This record gives sequence, C-alpha cells and structure tokens, in this order.
Amino acid sequence: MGIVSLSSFLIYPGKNLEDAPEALGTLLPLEGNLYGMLSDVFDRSDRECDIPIRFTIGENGSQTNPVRNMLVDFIGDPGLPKGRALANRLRDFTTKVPGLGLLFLILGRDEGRGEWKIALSRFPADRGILAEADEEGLRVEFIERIFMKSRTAYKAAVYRGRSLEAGFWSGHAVDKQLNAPNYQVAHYWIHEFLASDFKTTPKAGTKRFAVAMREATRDAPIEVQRELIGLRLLAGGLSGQSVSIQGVMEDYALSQEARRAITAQLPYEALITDQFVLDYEELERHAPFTTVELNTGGVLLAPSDKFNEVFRREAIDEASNLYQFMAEGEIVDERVRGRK
Amino acid sequence: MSRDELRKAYERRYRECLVKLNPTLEDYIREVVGEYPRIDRVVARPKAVDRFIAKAARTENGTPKYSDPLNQIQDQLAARIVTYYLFDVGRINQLINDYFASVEQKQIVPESEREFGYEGWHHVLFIPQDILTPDLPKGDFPEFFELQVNTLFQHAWAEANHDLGYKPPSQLDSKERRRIAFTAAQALTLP
Repeated sequence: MGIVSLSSFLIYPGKNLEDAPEALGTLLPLEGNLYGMLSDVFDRSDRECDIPIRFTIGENGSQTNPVRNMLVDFIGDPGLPKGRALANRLRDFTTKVPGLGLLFLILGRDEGRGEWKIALSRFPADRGILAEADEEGLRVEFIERIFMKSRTAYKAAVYRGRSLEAGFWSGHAVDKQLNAPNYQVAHYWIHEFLASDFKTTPKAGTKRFAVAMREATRDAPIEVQRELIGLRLLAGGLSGQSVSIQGVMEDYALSQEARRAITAQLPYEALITDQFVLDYEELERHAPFTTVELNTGGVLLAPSDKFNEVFRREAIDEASNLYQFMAEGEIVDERVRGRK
Repeated sequence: MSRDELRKAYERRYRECLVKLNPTLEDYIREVVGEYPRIDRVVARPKAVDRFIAKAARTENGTPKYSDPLNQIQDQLAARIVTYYLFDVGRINQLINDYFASVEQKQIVPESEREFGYEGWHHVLFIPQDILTPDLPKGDFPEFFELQVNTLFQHAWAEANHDLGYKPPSQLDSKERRRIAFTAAQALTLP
C-alpha cells in the first residue's frame, strides 16, 4: 500500500499542565532516507501490532468516540491542523515517565481496494553521542533528542478501513517501549490516548482462558495436568492485569506439551495473543478449585470437577461432621516447607 | 457501486460469511446468558439479501441514507434475546456488557410519555473474536451485529405492530390506531 501522507509531531509531556506547549508538527517528503525508514515502520505495523483494540462507546451509549473522530477527520484531510488535534491529545496524556516523544502519522491508500491504512507511531527521545571528523580533527558531541535509535522501541497503533463514516472502529496496537513483557501495554497509550480498550472484554477473555485450562486438564498426561493445575492456581494472582494466554504461558515457563494442550482447546490458535484483563471471579467460575479443610490441619485441594473422583468421602458420623477421605495415586511431588 | 454490484457483493457475503457466522453467534450468545433463568429464546438471523438491498436503497430528505451500505448497515447479523419480565432486561444488559464489546446501546422508547409503542433495548456490538475463525473470507465480514433485548410482551407487540402498524396493508383509522396503542400499553406496563 502506498503512503500518501507523512507527518510528524514533537510531543512534550503535558499531562496536568495548564499551559502545555502546542505540539509542533511538520509534513515530511515522500522520498529520501527518512521516508524509507518510515515506510518500513508502516509495512511492519501490520505484523507487529498484534493486540486487537477498539474505540470505546460514547458516554451516552452513542456511536461516538473523540479519538475515532479525530482519526477519521485526519484521514479525510491529512494536513497539520487535523494531525495536531491527535498530537495535542497525546501530549495531554503524556507524563514525564514516557517523556518527550516523536509522533508519526503515516497514511496509506490502496486505490484498487478502496482501503485506507493509518499507522500512529510514537518513538521515545533517547540520548547519544555524535562523532564527526572534519579538517580540524574529531568533534564529539552529546545529543539529547535522538528518536528511533532503536527501531524496536516504540508504541504504535494501526487501523484499516474503507468507510470513513462507518469504519475505523477497531485496530491493532503494540508497545515495544516497555522493559516489561510484550503483552503489558501501556495504559496511557491504549486507554488514555486512544480512548480505546481491548477488543475482548475481561470476562470473555478470562472465560476463554479458564475453559481452555479446564478442558486441557481433563485428558492430559499426569505431568501436564500438574503444570496446568499449577498454572490455574497461579493465574488467580494475575487478576486485574492485562494478559494474553501466550504471555502467561511464557511467564510461567509452561512446557511445550502443556502449551499445546491449552492451545488445542481454543477456537483457533491466533487467540493466544489476544489481550484481555484477567477477571478472578470469572476464572473461579469456569475453572474452580474445591478445597476442604479439616480440623486436624489437613487441607484437600483439587479441581472442582474432579474433586469427588480424586478424594472419596465416607461419613463416619454425619451429625458431628466427621468424615474419612481416601485418595489413591502416584506421588509426583512431595515437599516439606519449614521456617528458615 | 451500482445496485447490481451491491447485490452481488452482499450475496457473496451472505453465502460465504453470514450464513456460517449466524449459528456460531447464536450459540455464543446462548452460552453467555445460559445460566440466566427466564430466557424464553435466543435467536439470530442473517439479513436476507432482498431486505438488505431494500434497506440500502432508503433515502433521507431525498438523498441516499447509506453511501457505503456494506459497511454502514449494522444489522447484517442480528440477534434477539427474549426474556420474561422487565426487571430481567437490565440484568441481561449487564451480561451483554460483561461479555461483548459494545459500540452503541440505547433504550427504544415511545417519543412521548403520552404515547405507547415499540420498546426495547438495542445494542450494536463487535462480533466476538472467538467466532471470527480464520476460514472466514478475510476482510469480507461485518464488524458489528445488532442485539435486541425484549420481554415476551414487548416482542409480541413488536411482531404484531410490524404487520399491523408499521407496515399496514392499508391506512389505519384512529380507532384501529387506538387499539394498537392500548395493546402496547398493556404490554409495557407488565412487570
């Protein structure tokens, strides 16, 4: 797809500032080295932006979103004034932590398909050293505003659509700037600046994950079952965090077999990268564990749908709530924990 | 795009996408509300080709209402949840908000407090990622579907009114219109 407009804006941190400076912008030529570099960013954006996002609904329940409006306005008239509206919005949500940044708005058009594509990329300012040799010798300078020093460190969002009236409600995003796992996207980029959310709601994503874990556990070999049960117990601790199934599996170093077992339970494989906020209640609802604590200090724990199979229960004296539990199986792990 | 081209494009979408998506969407919604009591029915339908073409041809103040019907008409897939009582509607709306990404939701009410007429909740929702399987034709499926939530009486009223009041075979007189309004009033005042 050919690029038809290329603009750039310098974004100062402006969050909570009353007199934040206007974002300075310029239109860039559609040729030369910088164009080549940004063409590469534009082409890669389809592949690298892999988190489905969507603009959020208007407060009164209507189909309006301020950033979508700005985006569509810019696509219809890709000059500096419409671009600056987006740039100023980014400024208004930028704190000193992401700091100074350079925003590129790269607009492409496929006339044959009648399709637009727009990529928004923010690169952080970095520091570097400039060394220049001239007639007087070597000159070394410290430079504070270097952008795109690392082409793998940036935030981006990409949208495609054919209809300015009805399209551009969803897109894909990425945040490669964080020193954190790839799946933890900056709150300020998606939720604040883009006024967007993940395309999958917390409950829908968590249900998908929980059901996949539960079903994978049913028929898996015992060693995979152990991993999955461990994962299920630990996943509760991720409540409220943005996760993808792939990210969680990587973080907990699941074996390839366990990963395959979970992936096989998804409607299709690509959903492992889909992002959502983990919801503890939903996890409990679809992949629950049953625990029974005895007055002797013993605790019995098993997935709820297997508890009665794993532990056989016989009443000794029902009136006094006295029971005998029996379990049979191969010991695969045994630990003694004490105080250090 | 000419009318013939639009018809061919929609026929292809209908055949290759909507007909395939419809049962999976219906199942998905049914699963979301599955444990909720007092659900009378969950139904989904792809918009028939003739109805789509007729809607695409609508005008507003003498100009075409839709400049890009394939993208602008959002009920190419539409579903309805029918429940028993009014107090169920709010709870079902909450379930919908929990599991679907929404782009619009509104309560349809009569224009005046002194009138009775169609009432219900309309949602425009993103088609869930889970059912957009890779075998669907890439880029040729709608992004949204419409979901209505009605009580049994609202549904019955809407169905009857669609034939009697909304698209009557002949002009209704005031007595007939009053009878329809009376029916609506009875439907809408039940708990």
